Amino acid sequence: MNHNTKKPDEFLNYFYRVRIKITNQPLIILINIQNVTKSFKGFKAVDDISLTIQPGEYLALLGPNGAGKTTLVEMVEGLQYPDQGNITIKGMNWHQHKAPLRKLLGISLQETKFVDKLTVRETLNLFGSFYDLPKRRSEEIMEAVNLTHKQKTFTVNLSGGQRQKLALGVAIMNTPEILLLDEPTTGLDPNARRELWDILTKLKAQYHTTLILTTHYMEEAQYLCDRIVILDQGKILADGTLEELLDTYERGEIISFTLDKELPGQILSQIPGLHHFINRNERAKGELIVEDITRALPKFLSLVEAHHLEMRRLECRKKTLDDLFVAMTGRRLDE
Amino acid sequence: MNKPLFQLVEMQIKEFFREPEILFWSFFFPIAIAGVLGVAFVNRGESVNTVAVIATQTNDAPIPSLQSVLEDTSGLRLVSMSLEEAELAMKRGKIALYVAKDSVNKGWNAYFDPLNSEANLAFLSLKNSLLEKNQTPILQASHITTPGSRYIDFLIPGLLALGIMNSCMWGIGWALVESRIKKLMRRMVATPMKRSTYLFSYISTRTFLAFIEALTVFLFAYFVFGVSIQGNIIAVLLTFLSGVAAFAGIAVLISSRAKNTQVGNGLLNAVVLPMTILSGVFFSYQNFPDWAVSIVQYLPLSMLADSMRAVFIEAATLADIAGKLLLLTLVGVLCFLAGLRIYKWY
Ligand SMILES: Nc1ncnc2c1ncn2[C@@H]1O[C@H](COP(=O)(O)OP(=O)(O)OP(=O)(O)O)[C@@H](O)[C@H]1O
Ligand SMILES: [Mg+2]
Repeated sequence: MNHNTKKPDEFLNYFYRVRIKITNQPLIILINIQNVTKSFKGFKAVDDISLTIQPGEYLALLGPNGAGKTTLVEMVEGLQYPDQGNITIKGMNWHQHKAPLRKLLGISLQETKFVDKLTVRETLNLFGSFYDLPKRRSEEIMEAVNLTHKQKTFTVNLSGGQRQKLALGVAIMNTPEILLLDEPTTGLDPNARRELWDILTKLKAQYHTTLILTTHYMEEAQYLCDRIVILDQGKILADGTLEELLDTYERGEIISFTLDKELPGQILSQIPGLHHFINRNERAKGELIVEDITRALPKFLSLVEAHHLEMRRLECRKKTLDDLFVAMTGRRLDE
Repeated sequence: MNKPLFQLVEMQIKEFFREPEILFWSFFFPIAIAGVLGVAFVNRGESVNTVAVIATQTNDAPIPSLQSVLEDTSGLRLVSMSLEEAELAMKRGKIALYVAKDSVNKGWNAYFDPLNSEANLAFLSLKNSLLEKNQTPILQASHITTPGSRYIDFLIPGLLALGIMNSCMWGIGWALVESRIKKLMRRMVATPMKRSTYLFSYISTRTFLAFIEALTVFLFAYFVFGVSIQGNIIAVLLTFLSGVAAFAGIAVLISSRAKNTQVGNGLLNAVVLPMTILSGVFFSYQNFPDWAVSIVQYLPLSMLADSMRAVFIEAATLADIAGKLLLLTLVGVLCFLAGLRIYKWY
């Protein structure tokens, strides 16, 4: 497997690995996105975004429909050009270094239909030939994405999930250093989604791949990625690890409830560690944001009982990125 | 060996043979047209019936007299030609019938294909006019069925040209537009595969498939109707290749920007339909007004069909058609380069 090994890259790879071992905080920037703007007929799809990505990072671009995720990722892939700003990958850019960059990346687009009447195996052979890979590589890929049993099926007859797996298979054929996946699990059932996650987790462990992934699913970002960037309306709203993101905003846990009658105001002052109360519908329904559920909940329940109120619905959970997003924009991520 | 070009061509050929509908339209349909038109529809569809009168060196007198007699015969136009000119005009579909003096019985002989209803009609009206005017010259029918003068002989080279055009325009032009619409093109050119390889694979595949299609139609015509090639086989092959070059280039240009079905379809039809109708595939365009002929004869499909026909039935040599073949190739190369300049890959 000596495809995509290039002499200068070898040196860089070695350098990355050493740096990571020594300091765990590489200084070299793998992908550098600087003040990138892209407009469509005056509408700014990506608005002055700057982002640096380090080798080995798994980064999730999280955002609602139309946030600009695809536009941003495709500019990194060289499929669209920024109106303003620069993108460099390992110091190379899309104007001067098209050929080496194409060898470096593995991509899966938001929507790709393969050739209808070509089988899974033939599709992999076809793409393998573009990277000058032996046909043996197709077998390895089919094993990796669990499609060996479907190798003789025409792509048009694959299920949605199988097609996504094939797209991922094609993306990782050349053991890319940088993997860019645009909504790889949208529309998949939870099992299929988990299967894809496992493949990606393995890849990280095995090849130290760098991943940029776009998604609408908070759990996906949470599960797969060490770094999460939340995009909305072409701008970065938040950037950091899950912990960091949740910390930037008020911490806390949520007790959400519905009662038969209005909640008397004096109860609130007696709940330990209460940050605030979100009132919905005349106090019969609402959310308590508390420091610690284990302390607040028993007291809250006993107070409800003492005031002869009846609990219709009760739900306790930790704060999530969704709540963060709602707090920042007033909208939900999956809206 | 896992070369991109080879893999791409293999992909397209598999795709082609795995779609039964495509097979039908590519192979069965042209044969059906040839069969139906060849058997049943032997009319060359001239809008004006031109009748040639053969000038004879020995006695020039009867010709003006025949012409003066027939002056007011409706729908017939008399022109004098030499025998060679008349035979060529007949093969080209310019005339359906010619009249020559019969040296033996001092009458006139009308030469025409009895299967051509228009020629029959012309013969009958000629004969009637002569009878009405009580003219002594008697008109006799002489049937000619020599290969090369029948409608099917006229039709088959035209159908081959049409097949080349359709195969390239849809097989390259439409296939490229479709692959852009499906976003498969942008996925493929995002790999290290060369873009020239990508386009070239479509052109190679089409050269091969168009050849098979043409061969099928020709073999059908050869075995069923006895259509043969009077000229040189090399000339036929070069004509074929120039045709593929021309239409492959045009197809690349047409497909260079279209990003939805309607535009792609519209553009392709805008090229294909007028030429199918005007370029003399089914009926000779020689009876159009002169100004129209001077334009129509330079349409790529006209040049291809005319060259093909010239080699097939007039035994034209390579030198005779070289000009048109070069022009076709030039059209293809220019369109290809223009298309490449404005090509929308993503
Ligand atoms: N080619 C284009 N022409 C016009 N507008 C475009 C084009 N591509 C994207 N846009 C607009 O730019 C904005 C961002 O689009 P983009 O596809 O990047 O969003 P996204 O975050 O990927 O959304 P989704 O989650 O729905 O895939 C949208 O408002 C979209 O309408
Ligand atoms: Mg998108």
